[in-house]
Amino acid sequence: MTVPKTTMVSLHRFDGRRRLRLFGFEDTTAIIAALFLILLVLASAFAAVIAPYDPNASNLSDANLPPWAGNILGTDASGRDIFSRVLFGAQSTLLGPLIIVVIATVLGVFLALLGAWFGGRVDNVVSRVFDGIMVLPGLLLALLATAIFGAGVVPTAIALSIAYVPYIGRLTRSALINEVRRPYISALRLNGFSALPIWTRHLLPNIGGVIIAQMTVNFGYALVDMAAISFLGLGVQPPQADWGVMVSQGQSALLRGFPMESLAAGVAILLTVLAFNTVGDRLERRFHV
Amino acid sequence: MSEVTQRASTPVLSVEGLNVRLAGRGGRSLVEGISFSVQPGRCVGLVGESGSGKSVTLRAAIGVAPEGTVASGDIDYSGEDAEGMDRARRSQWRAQSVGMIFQDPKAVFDPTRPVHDFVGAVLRQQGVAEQEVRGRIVAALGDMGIPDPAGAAERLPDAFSGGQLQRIVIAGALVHHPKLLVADEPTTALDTLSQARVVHLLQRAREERGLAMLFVTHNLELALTLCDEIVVMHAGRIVERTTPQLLRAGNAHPYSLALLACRPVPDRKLDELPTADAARELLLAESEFEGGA
Amino acid sequence: MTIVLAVANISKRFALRGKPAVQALDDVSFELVRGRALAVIGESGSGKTTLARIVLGLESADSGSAELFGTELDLGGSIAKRTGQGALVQVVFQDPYSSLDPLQTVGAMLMEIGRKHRADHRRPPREELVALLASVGLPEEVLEQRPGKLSGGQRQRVAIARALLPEPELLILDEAVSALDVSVQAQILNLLSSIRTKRQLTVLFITHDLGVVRQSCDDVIVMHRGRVVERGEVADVLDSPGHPYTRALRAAVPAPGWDPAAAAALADEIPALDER
Repeated sequence: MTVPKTTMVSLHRFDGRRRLRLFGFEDTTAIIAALFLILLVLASAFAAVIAPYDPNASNLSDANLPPWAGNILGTDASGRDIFSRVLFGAQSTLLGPLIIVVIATVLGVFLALLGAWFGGRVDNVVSRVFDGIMVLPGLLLALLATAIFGAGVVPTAIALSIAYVPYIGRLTRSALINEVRRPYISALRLNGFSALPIWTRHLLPNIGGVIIAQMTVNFGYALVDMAAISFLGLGVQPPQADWGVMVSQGQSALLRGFPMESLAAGVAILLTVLAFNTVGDRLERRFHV
Repeated sequence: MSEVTQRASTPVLSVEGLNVRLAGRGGRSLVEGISFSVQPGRCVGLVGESGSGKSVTLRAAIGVAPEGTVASGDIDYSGEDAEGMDRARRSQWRAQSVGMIFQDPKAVFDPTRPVHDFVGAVLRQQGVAEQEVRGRIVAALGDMGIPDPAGAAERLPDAFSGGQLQRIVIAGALVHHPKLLVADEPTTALDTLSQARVVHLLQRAREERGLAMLFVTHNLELALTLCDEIVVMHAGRIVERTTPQLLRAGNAHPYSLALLACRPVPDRKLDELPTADAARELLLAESEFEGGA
Repeated sequence: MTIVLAVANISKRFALRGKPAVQALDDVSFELVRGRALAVIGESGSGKTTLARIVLGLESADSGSAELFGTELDLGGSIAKRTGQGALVQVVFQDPYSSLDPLQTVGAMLMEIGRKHRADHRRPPREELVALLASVGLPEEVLEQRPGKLSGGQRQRVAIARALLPEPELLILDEAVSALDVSVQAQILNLLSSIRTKRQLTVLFITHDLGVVRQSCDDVIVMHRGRVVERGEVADVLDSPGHPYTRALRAAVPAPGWDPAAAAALADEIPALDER
């Protein structure tokens, strides 16, 4: 018997690394990002328990302490504990984008449903509405809202949410158009089902993943926008802790050589937005947006 | 060519004990123990139902296994061990010696470029003078029955029907005079009339050029028309290697015969179509017997 | 002899942006007699699927009329105006993968459709659904499964079960077996023919496969570029095709002793536009 010649034609080499799996994510970056977000939400919810100090307790004799003198991230110009303020600040910082994303999703998905379902003229109108809103700069809308309703998180967030409608609506619309064309929807219509039950029982659940991916990605963008508004002094009002406000208030200390307040809040914003984008990006890939 | 010289000639492609499995530890096996060879001027058909591994086999055989899979086995290109070739040499062999046709002709074209871009790609890569490239493109398109070939070469893919595009793909696959033509379900996405045209062109190309062909199809009847040898596959394994003559004479594995018989024909109506159920059970029993032994 | 479906002079044009308008249907008429199976054959672009969609109410017609059991059908493409149609006409589509809601179990889907068609709007009893599944050759466990767990053939059986649930008079099969493997196709064709005999179903079978036509249909209309070019009983049309297009289609089917060169020559006699 001859020994058969066995040679390897390795066409695609497999990298032997073991991969973590969590919620269907297979890559470490996305898992870390998701864990970070979970941790962030928990930390902001239990800020009162975790925070070592009262975020608003100022003590001018302890102003601008460096991170190593008993306060984890040091203190700000008013002697308030920066770490505690970052923790408490997470609440108001996350509230704005949450309002934006929820309102924009409800409106965007509803418009997308109308367009995808009725098609033709209705769809044209929906597309024009999305195009029209796209032209409006979101920040300008927010500034306009503060001019009318005064500064604050809620009016600016509501104004900004209008600007976010097309971002969520457009992709949802194209996903819905694909879904509506599927024959199982035709079969339901042929059996006498009307629009509403088909929307709620079949269409929306089937594109739920796409919607959640859109919400996640846009949450990151909305957070940046809201931070910018607070930075300008039009969103969250001091002395309430907020990351945008902290970046703004830390400026004068920064110039005097005490960067901790602006830096801590800035890094918090950066990491959070990165995490939202990473998770959103993976979700998008998973649901083939 | 006499039977003797045919046997003595080196196969254009020879595959021995090909295994393909999904990457990763314990990755599922897609095909196992596949062996066949394609002699110059001969056509080998890989036939099976979906999931039989016929397309994976074809792609692994020419060194373009699907992403995320690992192929192993002894593959020779024109008598030369593929493992001994480096990556560049292998892709050079592929570019020069192989013409490829796939199921969806629309997918192979860049929609923004005129079709001569695709048809002349290999020639241009080989450094053939542009004027000669143009001449050969026009000749190849004309050969494939594309009306006004010179004008057609300048048009975008969008201007052609699916059947015409597939004929343009064949023109591109033959324009550099390859030794081997591989075709993966080349007529499955086409209408019956276009299928007849494409099959006719493939048959003619074989006869005129002495091409070796590897033809993957789910349609056994089609393979019987085109091929000299048929490899019937099921669930990643070879059921049998046979010839059209043996199959027509009913002298073949029950599964192959069932594949042939269960397709309804326009000539007659049967009370009931035969199914492949019994034959499939037999295959299952056979593989269990092998596994136990 | 009851006429189940009478279609008269239906025409339909599609205007596509930046492309010349396509005459999908040009003055198409036919009658479908109760208990018989009519095949509509032709290649892609012949208009056969558009015809089915218009009959179902999924697409509007530009002109023409249609009657279902003597009642005029609304051809405006608004399915909402076709009340009660689902109890009479059902359909099985080509793609077994997108024909079922991926999130819904087979049982939930059949319950949902079933209660819609019951006078009391109550869920159909489980035994009824089990019997229905058995009639299409599927075991009871399938009720608890989502489509992702099922093979292409099993999904198509589920789609057939869904179509049979309201006990329709007319079943439209829109390329219902062409996406299946041959051996699975044979099983489904056998299943369909036994169901037809048992339930006295009338069938409109849209297909491009002449073998399927011979095996499963009684009458045939041949469509070419939106027009009916030939009609008659299946055996007559297939054994002695009258129109050059039918002859070309017939010659293009691979068979023992098949001559692709002759088939290609016949195909080339048809005006160039046929090729799609």
